[in-house]
Amino acid sequence: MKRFGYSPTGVEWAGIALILAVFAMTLMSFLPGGCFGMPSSIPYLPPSSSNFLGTNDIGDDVLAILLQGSRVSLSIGLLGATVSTLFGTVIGVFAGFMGGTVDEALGSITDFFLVVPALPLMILLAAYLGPSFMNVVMVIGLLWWPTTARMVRARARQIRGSPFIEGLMGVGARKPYIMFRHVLPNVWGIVLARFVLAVSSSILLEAGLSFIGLGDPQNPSWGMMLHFAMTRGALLHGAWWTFVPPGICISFSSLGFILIGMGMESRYRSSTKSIGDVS
Amino acid sequence: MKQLSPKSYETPSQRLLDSAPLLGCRDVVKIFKSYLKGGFTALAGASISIRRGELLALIGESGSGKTTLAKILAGLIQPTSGEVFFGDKPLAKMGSKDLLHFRRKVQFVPQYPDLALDPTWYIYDSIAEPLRIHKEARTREEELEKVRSVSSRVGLGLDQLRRKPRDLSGGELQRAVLAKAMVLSPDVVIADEPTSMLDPSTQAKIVHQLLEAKKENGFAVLFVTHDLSLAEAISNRVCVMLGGSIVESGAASDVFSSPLHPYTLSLLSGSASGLEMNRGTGCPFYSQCDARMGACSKSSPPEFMTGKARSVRCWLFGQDY
Amino acid sequence: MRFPLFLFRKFLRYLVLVFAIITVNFLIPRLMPGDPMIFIFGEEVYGAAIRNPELFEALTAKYGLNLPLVDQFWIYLMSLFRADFGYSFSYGRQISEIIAERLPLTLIMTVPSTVLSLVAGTAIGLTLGWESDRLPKRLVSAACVAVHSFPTYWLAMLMLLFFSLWLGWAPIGGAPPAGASFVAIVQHLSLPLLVLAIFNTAYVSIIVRGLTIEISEEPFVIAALSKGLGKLNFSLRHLLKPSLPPLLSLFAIEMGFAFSGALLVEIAFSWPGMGYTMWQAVIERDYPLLQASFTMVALVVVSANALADALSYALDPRSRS
Repeated sequence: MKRFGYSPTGVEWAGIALILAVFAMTLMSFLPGGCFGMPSSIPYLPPSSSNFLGTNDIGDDVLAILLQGSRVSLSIGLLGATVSTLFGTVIGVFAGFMGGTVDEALGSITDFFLVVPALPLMILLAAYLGPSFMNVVMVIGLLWWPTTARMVRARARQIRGSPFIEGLMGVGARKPYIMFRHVLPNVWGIVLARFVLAVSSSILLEAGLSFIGLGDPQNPSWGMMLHFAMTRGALLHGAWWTFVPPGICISFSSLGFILIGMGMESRYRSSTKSIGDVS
Repeated sequence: MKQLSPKSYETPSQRLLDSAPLLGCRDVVKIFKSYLKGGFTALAGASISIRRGELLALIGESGSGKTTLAKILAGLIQPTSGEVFFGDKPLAKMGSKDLLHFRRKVQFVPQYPDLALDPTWYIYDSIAEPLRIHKEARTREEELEKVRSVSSRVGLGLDQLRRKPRDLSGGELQRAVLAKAMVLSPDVVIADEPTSMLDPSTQAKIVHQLLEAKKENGFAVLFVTHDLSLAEAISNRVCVMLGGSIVESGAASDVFSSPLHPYTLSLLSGSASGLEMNRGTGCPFYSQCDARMGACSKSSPPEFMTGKARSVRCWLFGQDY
Repeated sequence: MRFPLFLFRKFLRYLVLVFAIITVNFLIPRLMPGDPMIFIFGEEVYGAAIRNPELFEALTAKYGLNLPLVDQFWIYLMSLFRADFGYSFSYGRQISEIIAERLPLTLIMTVPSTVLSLVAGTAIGLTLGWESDRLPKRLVSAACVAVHSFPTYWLAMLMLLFFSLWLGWAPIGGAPPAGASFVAIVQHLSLPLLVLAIFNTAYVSIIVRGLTIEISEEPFVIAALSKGLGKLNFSLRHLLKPSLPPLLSLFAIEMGFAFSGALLVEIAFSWPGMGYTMWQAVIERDYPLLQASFTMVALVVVSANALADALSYALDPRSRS
């Protein structure tokens, strides 16, 4: 098998292309405002040469908001995924490696969060915390780690049972040392894949929370655009240009990350099959 | 096994048999807990001792408890009862400093070389790791020197040291594992069927290198194997294991030329089948033994000494009969 | 007999889970930054209570807010047992009444769409997983992944745009008026059901496809095929049967998922179920209503999980160990 170099599969290429498109968009949002049509002060103007994606209910240029929103959606996606992956990895490695009571206690907590529906709990927490950028990140990060924790735990358990760990104990290595230097590098592949998948989930969750009205009104995201389209009657007005583009952006960016994550996961699975089979 | 002439290693010198045991255990019982079957007795009162500089072969069929005994001696698993001692100290009563010394001086070589090294680490780092854990090398240069010398002794070149486990063959991996075990200049190397996963020619080369290194450094080896001809060719002393205890032990030449225990006899003649072993009271070989007597089913025979450093657990050799 | 013990332990786990949900629910308003009274009474009632000392006294006494936390918890538990969730100022009604009215409206959407998508998704997933390398199948799989990454509520908005606004086939949203004809009810339900079914079918297909691929690589499958078992016969007997228990646990997760999805879809269709209620509660800052809705949603999802566990226990002897 070819071990050197990382050649993405077709699926991963598709994902990379989608993400590059989103990032290009985010970069464009840093261009000076006048580049994409001015606010026209006429509400629900359909797409035209002066406003490529028309205007919304208060006459703002939809394309300009869309570009601004890409920053919010993407950064919340990345931050939320970082927090949740961090939590999941720490808990998973700890539970999987220590085993016994620690494992059982952490396992019960993980199970709790796996069974309790995440989105309603997020809505509840976000409603109490109040809408703000960091609150959305924290709510996603604190509630989206269980799947990661479970997968990392399973892998860490497998690693813990393999002879090289036993050998290290026999040489006199300490547990924290083994956890950081041996277990962590071995779960790294799954952590990375989970992170990419978590970015996708975080983008979707952020959009969902914003759609309900729990997003930061100071920094309207794509989900917030859908929220306004719903609550301010753009849908009933038939102004499709206000809600079709943000929906496409949410779908494509989350799809892009999902495709890459899936590719990484399957690659990871096939490369570690031999270890899993014996122990 | 043409490369190994039996004569060159088979030297049961009196000096070796007389020296005090370096590592050993007494009456070790190990019961693996299992919620389904209520527990599995892997070791039923096994005693063994390894003397300085000797090559002790532990032979027996699969399921006889060889690996469990080896792991208990290496301090990898805790016995249910009985005690393991290193030098004159029991392992259970060692402080952290003594324990660290034990960990440095007793090294374990596992059965599956492809899982014995961290797949994410370079071979060099894996071999150097024991040095780092015990802070045995003060500088990078000293570490490099030690790793290189121990690697070249087992036939590993710099090229292989720069790779990761997945890019090495099974033989190369086993060499790396051996190098890792020897880098701390141990007193005892416990090798659990180190060559059973390899093809015969590689097997012979690696065993040869292990023996060369042993000659040079003078460490003792506990060689766990089910390969009788290999054991006969390389060992000074032999322990035969059955049903979780040592049924016969003695100098390799004695055991192989004139086995005492009926089980050893059938093992050497190739007719033994450990699967039908008696797991109840009495001798584990009871149900298959041609020479069984009334006493054999009632109680497990104790260790009878039949000569210097020669013992057998069989009622045939009891003074009462 | 392990049967009752096993079920009892499972049951106990779910009881603990429900208790944990209730505890979290109790603690959140009391530990969050801000005045807990706003959260417990709801913003508007709190405003009224501030101006009316008598009402303030009455409310404080009702929730035991001047008592220690443990006593408050007891009062909270007791009121839950009486199904007393408090009063919703935004609706001007008892919360239990609102929920009794709206929970069925959510179930009428989630249960049929879940059943539908499980059946359709299993069929599609089995087809896609078998000889999964063919191009048309890969395209359909990719489409399933794509659909799954669409926000459900956005799909709902698109449907509304096409079918309701442009084609005029379905109503703009909302629940059918009381005493509406069967046709009207179906018209109101069709779009939300369609959106949920599409979304969940895509999800189930992806999972079942993965399971099928995994199983079809197993040696026993290759052996069975080489015996000349027909494909359909084969997929029913060897693929569907072993994948039933994982499918059942999938059903449980799926219910939770469907609920979360349904909550957002309801908002898009102004369908007055639990999701719409939660949305209203968020907008009106009607915290008591929000909390009660969450409790009910969580209880339904946990019950679905318990049900799936019991079913998979009944079907699969392996899960009993």
